[in-house]
Amino acid sequence: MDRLKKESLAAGQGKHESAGTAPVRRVNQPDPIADGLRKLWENVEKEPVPNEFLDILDRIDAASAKERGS
Amino acid sequence: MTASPGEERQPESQALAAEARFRDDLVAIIPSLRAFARGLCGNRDLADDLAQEALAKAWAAQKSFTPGTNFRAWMFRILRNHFYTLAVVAKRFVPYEPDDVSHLQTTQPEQGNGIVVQDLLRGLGTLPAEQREALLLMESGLQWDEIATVMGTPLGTVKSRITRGRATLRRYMDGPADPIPLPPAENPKKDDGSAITRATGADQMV
Repeated sequence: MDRLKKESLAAGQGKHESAGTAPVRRVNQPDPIADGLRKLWENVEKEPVPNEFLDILDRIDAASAKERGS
Repeated sequence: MTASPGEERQPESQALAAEARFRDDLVAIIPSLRAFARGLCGNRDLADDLAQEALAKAWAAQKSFTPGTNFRAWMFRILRNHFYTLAVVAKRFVPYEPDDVSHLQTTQPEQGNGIVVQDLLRGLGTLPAEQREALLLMESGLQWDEIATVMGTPLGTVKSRITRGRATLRRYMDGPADPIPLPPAENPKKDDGSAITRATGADQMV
């Protein structure tokens, strides 16, 4: 129970947040899960974007150019 | 009254400018889209397929985006909706398949409480998709109301899924010290409407 309570606090539920606030946690409370999740986001966001994505954009551009030309 | 050629061109150039802005937004969001998809699918190739399909869908649906509203939330919603469509129709993302460590281990795990991202991905894979999604969005930079919008659920349900996902993930990360199966009450297989009631209870508890 104590652990669950701590986790809830770490999730920001201990504070009365309004819907317009970002999820925050207490700075002095270690939260390995949130840290790990942030690391996951950061690691993937740092990866170079594969060429397939640029190909999709090229196709989109080609389609719009064709649309404008017709 | 007939509009002069100049007046006709003006809206057209505005539409072109809007289209160019939209395209810039699409390009800028690709890294985050890939990250969200990676967390949902666990597997790099499946995730990139999902993200590419979401991009194409977003382009096709660009008229439904209201400029000035949160593009990130709009885009994430398209991706997660597509994820659930594929999961339901084709069972394509079942099972969750975390892939090779080399794809992800770009930084060394920290000492002490640090979590290895690959372990986290495996742990996420043990969760119901709705809880995995809620945990991922918690660290996505979106605000609570935007997360609820992306997931299409009340805020209470979002927080309930985060709490339950966290508890399961924590047990998973703590390791297989004791291979006793979890009691059914703490390992719900389905996330139905009753979550709203439970979330209220949990909020009162803390």
